[in-house]
Amino acid sequence: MPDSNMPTRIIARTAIASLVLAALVLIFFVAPTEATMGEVQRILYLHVSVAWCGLAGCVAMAWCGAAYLVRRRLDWDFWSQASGEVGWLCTSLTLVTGSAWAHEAWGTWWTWEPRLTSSLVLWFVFAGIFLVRSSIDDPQHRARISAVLSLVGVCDVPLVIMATRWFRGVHPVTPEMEPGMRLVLLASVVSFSALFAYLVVERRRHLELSERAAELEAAVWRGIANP
Amino acid sequence: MGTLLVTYAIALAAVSAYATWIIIGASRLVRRVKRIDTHAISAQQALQRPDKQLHNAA
Repeated sequence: MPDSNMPTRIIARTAIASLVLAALVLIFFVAPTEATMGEVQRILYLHVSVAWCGLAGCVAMAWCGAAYLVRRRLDWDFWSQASGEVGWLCTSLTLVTGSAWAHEAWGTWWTWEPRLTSSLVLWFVFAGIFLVRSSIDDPQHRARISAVLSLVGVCDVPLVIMATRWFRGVHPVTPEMEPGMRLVLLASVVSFSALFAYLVVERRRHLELSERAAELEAAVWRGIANP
Repeated sequence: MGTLLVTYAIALAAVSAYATWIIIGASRLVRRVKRIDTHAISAQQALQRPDKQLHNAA
C-alpha cells in the first residue's frame, strides 16, 4: 500500500523545506543589494526560478503526453497532468512576480512586450488544456486529447525563451550580475527545481490514488449489482 | 521593500496551498482506498457464507 513509503516521504519533505528555507536566507540575507533598484531587485531570484520551473513543466507535460500517445499507458497521463499543473502554477507565479518587478523597474504593472505577451499566451494555452481535460470523463479519451493539445501548446515555449532576442522589447536578455548574485540565483533555481520535482511526484501519486479509488468503487458497485 | 515582501508572500502562500491540498488529498485517498477494500472483502465474505452453509447441509 502507498503508506509503506511514509518515512521516505517525510525525509523528502524535510529536505525540500530545508532547501527552500536555505534559498530564502541566501536571497534575503546573503545576496548583495543591487545599486540601482535596491531591495526590490531580490524579486529576480524568485522570478527566474519559477519561470524556469514553469517552462520545464510545460515541456514535461508535452513530453509525457507524447509518451502516452506512443505507449497508451495512463501512467504517462498522470505524469503529464502533474507536471503541467505544477508548471502552470509556476507560470502564474512568473506573471505575478514579473508584474511586481515591472511596476518597480518600468513604472507599470503590465506592458504588451514580446516576452510578457508570449508568457501570457502560454498561461492561457495551458489553462485551456486543463479546462478541456475537466470536461472529458473517459480517462483514455481525456489523455489522448490532452497529449495532442499539450504538444501544440509547447510550441509557444521556444517563443517565450527567444522573445527577448528575436523581437525588440524592454525585458532584459541576460542581466549583468555580480558573482555573489549569480551564486544565489543558482542556489535559488536548484532549490525551487527540487520543490517543483517533489510537487510533481506527489501530485502524480495523488492522481494514481484517485484513479485506483474510482476503479475499486466501480468494482464494488458491479459486485453489488451482479453478485 | 513592501513590494518585495508581498511578492514572496504571495508565491510562498500559493505553493504551500497547492502542496497542502495534494498531501491532505492523498492521505484522504489512501484512507478511502483502504475503506473500500475492507468493505469489498466483507461483502465478498457475506456473499460466500450462504453457499458454504448450503454445501455443508448437502
